[in-house]
Amino acid sequence: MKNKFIVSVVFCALAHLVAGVTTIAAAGDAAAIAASGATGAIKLPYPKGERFVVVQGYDAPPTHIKKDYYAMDLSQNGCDAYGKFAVAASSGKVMLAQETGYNGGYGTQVLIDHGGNVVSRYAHLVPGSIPVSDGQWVAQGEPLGAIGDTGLVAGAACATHPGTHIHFAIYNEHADGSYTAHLPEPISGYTDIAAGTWYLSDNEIFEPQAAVSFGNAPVGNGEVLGAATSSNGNALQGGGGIAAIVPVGGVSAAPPSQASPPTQSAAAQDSGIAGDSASSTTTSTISTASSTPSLLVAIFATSSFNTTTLAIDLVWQPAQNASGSVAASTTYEIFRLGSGGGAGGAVTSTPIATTTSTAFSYPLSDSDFGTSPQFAIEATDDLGNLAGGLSTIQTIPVSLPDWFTNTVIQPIDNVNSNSSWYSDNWYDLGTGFYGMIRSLTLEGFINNANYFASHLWLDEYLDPGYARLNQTFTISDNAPFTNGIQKITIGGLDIPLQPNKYYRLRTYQDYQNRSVVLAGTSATGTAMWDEFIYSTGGVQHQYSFYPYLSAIMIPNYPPLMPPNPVASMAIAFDSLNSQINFLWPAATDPDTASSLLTYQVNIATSTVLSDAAWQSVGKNLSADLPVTFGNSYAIGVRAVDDLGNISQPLIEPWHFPAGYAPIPQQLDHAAGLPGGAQKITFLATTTVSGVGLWIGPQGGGYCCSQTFMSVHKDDGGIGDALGASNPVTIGQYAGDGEAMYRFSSPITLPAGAYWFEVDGGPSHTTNGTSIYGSSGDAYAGGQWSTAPGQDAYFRIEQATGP
Amino acid sequence: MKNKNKFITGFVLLAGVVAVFGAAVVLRSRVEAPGMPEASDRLAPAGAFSLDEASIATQNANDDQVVQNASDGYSFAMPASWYLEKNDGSGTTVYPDYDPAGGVAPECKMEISSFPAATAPGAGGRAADLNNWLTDHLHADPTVDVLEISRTNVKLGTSSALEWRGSLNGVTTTLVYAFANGKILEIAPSSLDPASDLDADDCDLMLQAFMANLRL
Repeated sequence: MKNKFIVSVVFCALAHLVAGVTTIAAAGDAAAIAASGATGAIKLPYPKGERFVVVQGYDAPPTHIKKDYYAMDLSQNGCDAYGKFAVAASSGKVMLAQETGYNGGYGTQVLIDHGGNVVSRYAHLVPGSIPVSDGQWVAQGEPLGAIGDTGLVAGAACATHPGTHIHFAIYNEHADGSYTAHLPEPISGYTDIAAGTWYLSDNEIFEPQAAVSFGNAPVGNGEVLGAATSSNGNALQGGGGIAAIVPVGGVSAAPPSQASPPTQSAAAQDSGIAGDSASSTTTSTISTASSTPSLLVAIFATSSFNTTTLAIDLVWQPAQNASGSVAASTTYEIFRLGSGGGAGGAVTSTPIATTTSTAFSYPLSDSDFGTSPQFAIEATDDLGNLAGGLSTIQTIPVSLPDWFTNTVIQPIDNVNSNSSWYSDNWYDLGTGFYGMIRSLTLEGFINNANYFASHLWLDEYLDPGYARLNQTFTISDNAPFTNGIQKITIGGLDIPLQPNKYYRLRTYQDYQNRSVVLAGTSATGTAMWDEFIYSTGGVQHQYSFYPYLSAIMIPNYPPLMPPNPVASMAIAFDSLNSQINFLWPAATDPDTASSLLTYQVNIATSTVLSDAAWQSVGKNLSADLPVTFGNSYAIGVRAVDDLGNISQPLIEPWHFPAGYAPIPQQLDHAAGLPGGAQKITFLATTTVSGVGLWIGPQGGGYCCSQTFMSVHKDDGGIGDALGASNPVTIGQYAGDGEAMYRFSSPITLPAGAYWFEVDGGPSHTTNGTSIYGSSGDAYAGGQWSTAPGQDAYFRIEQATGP
Repeated sequence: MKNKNKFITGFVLLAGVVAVFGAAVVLRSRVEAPGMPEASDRLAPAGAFSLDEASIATQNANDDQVVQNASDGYSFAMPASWYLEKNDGSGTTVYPDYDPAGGVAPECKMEISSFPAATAPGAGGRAADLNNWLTDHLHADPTVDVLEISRTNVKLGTSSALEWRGSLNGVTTTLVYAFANGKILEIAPSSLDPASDLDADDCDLMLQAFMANLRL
C-alpha cells in the first residue's frame, strides 16, 4: 500500500474501567425500575440484575456522533462483561445478524427493526454467538449474542479481550434510507445516561417457553405453527412505533461454547435462550384437530405489571391465517382464569374484554394484591373462524411484584402524640416514608357507647416541627370505631408519601369532639391504650405502650417526579437599561406543592443553554437579564422542586426588535458650557422622547429671554458645528432663572447624525445660557432627581425603533 | 514501536510456514530445512494462549509464532511479542503491540474473519466474483455510511487479494479480502488510538508485514 492505510480513529473509546468510574445511578434503582414497568419501556441491553457502566456516552466524538450521537458503550470491570448476553432492549424483528466480520467497525452485531422506523443496534459481539437470524422476531429480553470486542474497539480493561463492551444505539430510519440518532430514554427507567455511571438492568431474559413444544407438531390446517409464552414479564413495546412482537417458531441455536461467559450466572445459563428445550416448558395445549378452522391462535407476547396505572398490560401477537397473513377484522376475547387457574384452571364464560386491538390493560383491584392472575385469549376472524376454541388458550401466569403486598408496620411514639377530650388527637409518624399507601390498619376506640362518625386524616408537613402543613389526606370520614378496641382496615387509599415530608395521623370524632384513641401493644404484646382523664379532659399516658398503624404500601412509588415545565414566558425589552425582563406563571408539580418550587433561569447567545449557566432566582416568577445589542438569545427557565428534581426547561428565543438600534451614547455637556451641542448618530430610524436638561444661568439670576433646545440634522457644514440644515426645534424656554426643561413629546428621526443643541436664541448665540444637569439622573415627578451643578446631559430617556 | 522493527526484521528472516489445508501450498523459506517436522507435528500446545481449534508453534530461527487456523485454512507467522487474542472457527484477532500484563491499551489490531463464498471461485473469475460479493457485503448493513475510494489487486502472501479503501461511518478504513478454501477472508486492521505514538503508518507497516506472511 502506498498510502496511509487507516486513520481509523477510536471507534469506541473504552475507558479503563477499574479506576475512575465510580458513579452509581443516583435515581434509586428501585424507583427507576418501578417506573420502567409501563408498556413500551425500552430496557437496557443486558440481563436483569447486571450492572454495566457507560464507558462512552452520548455525543462523544469521534464515533458517537451523527446517527450514533445517542449511542452508549457499556461494559463492566475487567473482563466481567465478556461473554454475557446482549439482550433485546425491546421486541422487534431481526433486521440484520452479522455473525462475523468488521462490518463498518461494529464487528459481530445484530440490528433489530422495532417497527415505526425505529432500529436498534447491538455491536461488538462475540463471533458465532448470535442465536437469532435475519427476519426472526425477538422479544424484549431475548438474547442476541455474547458481548465481546469485535470490530473497532479500544481499551485494555479486559486484558484477554481488550476493548470488550457492547455498543448500543437506537436509530430512526427515514424514507430516503438514512438513519438518525434516537434518544434511547427512558431506558429501564433511567434518563440522562452519562458516561462513568453504572446502570442496573431490569431486562429479564426472555424464554419463549412454548416454542420447542410446537416445533415438532405437524403443520396442518389450524395448527399453531409456533407459540411462545413469556416468563420474563417484560413489556413489549407498544408506543413509539415499536410493534408488539413475539417469537414465532423461534427455535434458535444456543451460542457456541466459547460464547458462554466464564462469569455467567447459573441462572442466566439455565434460562438459556430461545429454543433451550431442556429448560423450556409449556402451559399451552394445542388442538390439532382437522376441524380446527384456519385461523391460528393469537398468542400472548408478554404481560407486565403496570405500576403507573396499577394494571396488567397484555400484549399478543396478531392471529394469523394458515398462510401466515393477519386475519382481517379479527376480534379477540380475553378471559381471566378463575381461582386454581393455570393450565387447568377454570375459564370464566364471560370475557373480561373484547377488542380488535392486540393489547389490553387489565386494571387491578385491591383484591388482586398478592395473587397471580392468569389470562386466556381467543381470536375470531371475520368469517367466524375461531382460533381453536378454548383448547388453544395460552395462559400467562402473572406474578405481582413482591413489594406490592408489602406491609409496613409503623410504631408510633406515644410521646409525640396528643390525646385530648375536646380536640383532635394526633400521632406523629415522623419522616422517611416513600411510597403509596394502599390501605391502613389501625387499632383504636372511641370512648362512647354510641357510634358517631370518626374522622381520620394524614397530615403532611414540611418541617420536623410540624408547623408548616403542606396538605391533608383524608383516610376516612366514617371510620367505624366504637366503644371498645377495634382493629379496622381502611382500603382503597392512594396516598403518596414523600421521603422528605413529615406525617401526622390525626383523628376526630363527631360526638362531643371526642377523638379516636389509637391502641397498640405493650412491649410484651399486651394490648394497651391511653385513657382519658374525665376530670380534665386530657389523656393520661399511664402506660408505656406502642401504638401502631400498619399499612399496605407500595414502596418507592410513585416515582418522584420533576415539576412540570413552566408553561409560558413573557419577555419584555428594557431598552433604557439594555436588559430583558421576563416573567412566567408558577409551575406545577405532580407530587409537590407549587409553593415549594424554585426557579432557575439561563440565557445564552446560542440555542444551547449551558448546564453551568443556570442560576437560581428563588421563588421569583420573573428575572432581569442583561443583553448586548447584536446578539440573539435563548432564554430558559425551569422549575426545581424541594427534592431537587428539575423540570424540563422552557426555552424561548429572543432577539432585539426589528429596527432597533441602541443609543450609542448619552449626550454630554460639561457644566457651565455656554450653550453648545452634542452630536449623536442613530443607526436606524429612532424615536426619541424625553430629551431634557436643566438650563439657565448657573446659580440663578437673569437669563436669556429665549433659550432653545433643538435638534439639527448634521449636514457636515463648516463653521457651524451645530449644523444649519433641517433644524427641528424640540423646545423653547423663555424666562429668567434656572428651570428644568424637558421635552417629552417624542420625535422620530431617520437614521443619521444629529446635533442636540441648546442655545440662547435664534441667532445661535448662547446669551449666557448655561446648561447643567445631573449625570444619568432620571426624570420623575416633574423634575430631575438631583440638584444641578453636575455634568449636564441631554438625557434621552427612550429611543426605540419603529 | 518496539515491536515494529523487530517484527519486520523477523519476517525478513522468517522461517517457512507449512500450513496446508485443502490445496497444497508450499512456502518458500530460507530456514525450511530437511528434517523439519510436518505441520501437523508442530501443532504445539497453545501455551499462553487459549485456542480452540488451532494452534501455534514457535519457530526456532526467529522466535516467531506460527498461527494456523484450521477452520479457515490459513496460517501466518508473527513475532513472539505479538498478542494473539483469538484464533478459532470464528476468526483470528492479533495485536502487534499489546502486552496484556502491562495493562496498556493496544493501538493496532488485526482481525481476520471468514465468510462463506456464495460463488465458488473459478479460473479467472475470482476478482469479478469477489468484487460483486464485496459490494454486497459492504452494503449489507444499511445503516453504515460507505464511501468507496479504491479497490486494488494486491498480493496476500503468494495469493491474490483485493484491497478496499474507503470510509465507513466517516472513518477511513482499509480492508483486504481474499478467497481461501471456498471462503472469503476479510482482514481488518484497526489503528485504535491515533493520538498514540503508534500512528496509522506504523499500523500500516505491520499490516503489510502481516499480509506478506499470510499463507492461504
